[in-house]
Amino acid sequence: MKFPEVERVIYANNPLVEVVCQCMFPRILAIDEGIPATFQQKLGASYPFVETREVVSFSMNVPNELTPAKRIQYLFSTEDRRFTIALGSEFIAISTADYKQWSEFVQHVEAAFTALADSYAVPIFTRIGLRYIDVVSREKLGLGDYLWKDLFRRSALGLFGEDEIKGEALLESTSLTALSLDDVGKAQIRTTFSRPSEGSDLTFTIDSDFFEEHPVKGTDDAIGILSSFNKEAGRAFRWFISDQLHDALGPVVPRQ
Amino acid sequence: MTLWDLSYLDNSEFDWLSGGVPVLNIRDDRELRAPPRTVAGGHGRKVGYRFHLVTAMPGSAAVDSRWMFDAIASDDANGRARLVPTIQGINSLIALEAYSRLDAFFDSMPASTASRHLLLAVARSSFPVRIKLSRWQPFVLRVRDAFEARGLDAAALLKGLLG
Repeated sequence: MKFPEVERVIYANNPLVEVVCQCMFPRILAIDEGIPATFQQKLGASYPFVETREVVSFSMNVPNELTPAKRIQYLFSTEDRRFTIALGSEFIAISTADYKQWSEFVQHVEAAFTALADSYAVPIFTRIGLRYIDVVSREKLGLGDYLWKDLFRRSALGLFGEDEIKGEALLESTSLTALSLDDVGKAQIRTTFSRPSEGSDLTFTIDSDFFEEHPVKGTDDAIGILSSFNKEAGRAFRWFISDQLHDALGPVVPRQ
Repeated sequence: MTLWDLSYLDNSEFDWLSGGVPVLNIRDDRELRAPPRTVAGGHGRKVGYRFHLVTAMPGSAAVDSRWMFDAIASDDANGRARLVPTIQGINSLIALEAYSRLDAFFDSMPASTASRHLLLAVARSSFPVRIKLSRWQPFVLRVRDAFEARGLDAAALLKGLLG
């Protein structure tokens, strides 16, 4: 499966609410047992805020892992809090709730990878994932008079694409589709109709998780895979939406 | 039902959260996370899973921890200026009963280079809960050795903490 090529655009009315890159690796005990001071030092002054949180880790059907254990996760944030790098003993994640464009996001991914490689021996990434979560509200875009089927590919809407189901009858719907991508990895796309609260406007969420689960050596290869996921994610979103919605989102061709 | 009674788990309860990690909402205030093991994120019982439980209990809260890194990077020249945030940070973790974070901090403090004022403040401010901290005593012993190596009167400085 490959989504059709389209012109790359940035939306003025960006529907992205969160973008997360998460790369998993074999457990590094040093992260569980000590403060990642070298990692923080390598990140430099660009991530002045540091938070910690604890999670309880336990296993099901994993041999020799019976005892629940507390694990510490470290969250390093930029001064404007737009980007966060999360470090745990088995993963590193870069996230933002204010995504502008890939060239900016990938700089934070590279910073995280460089700090990780300079601080710990990470032999391989066992999973590389890039996730985009788009939430579309017709009312916020001034498209309250449009039907959902006018805004999205009808097959993506499930039963909500049927003419008989209208207005207040629409409560909630979820579907999950997994696809194998032609070049590398897979995509798991979850679409959800929901109302954030009772009586509020219906929103449509497209949660696209592009991932590779074969071992990947080296951060350059990982960045390459993530870049291909980024392209595919843009094409997938454009494939999902109609020209009306595309225009309402305010597409702008980015400067080179 | 106890926290670890997982017999009621049902695949249909999984939802998704940040990082491509499926989440199972088992309570209003608790979540279970597990890495997806199949292409569709399936969760058959025959596959092994590692869960990360994020609870709403105080100990799981994300808290400002910049002070830890500043304390680790401190020296005698700048240590006094970092005393207040360090003590406040330790007190906040004690209030949250986040003892594993304090233990990790103790193990990471470089006793040979860190500010002596900070080393003393860390040891003394955590003294009341030392019984909860498995790494407190090894930390104090490292501080003692480091103080002696620096030519300081370790016995006097650490009075009441040793033995």
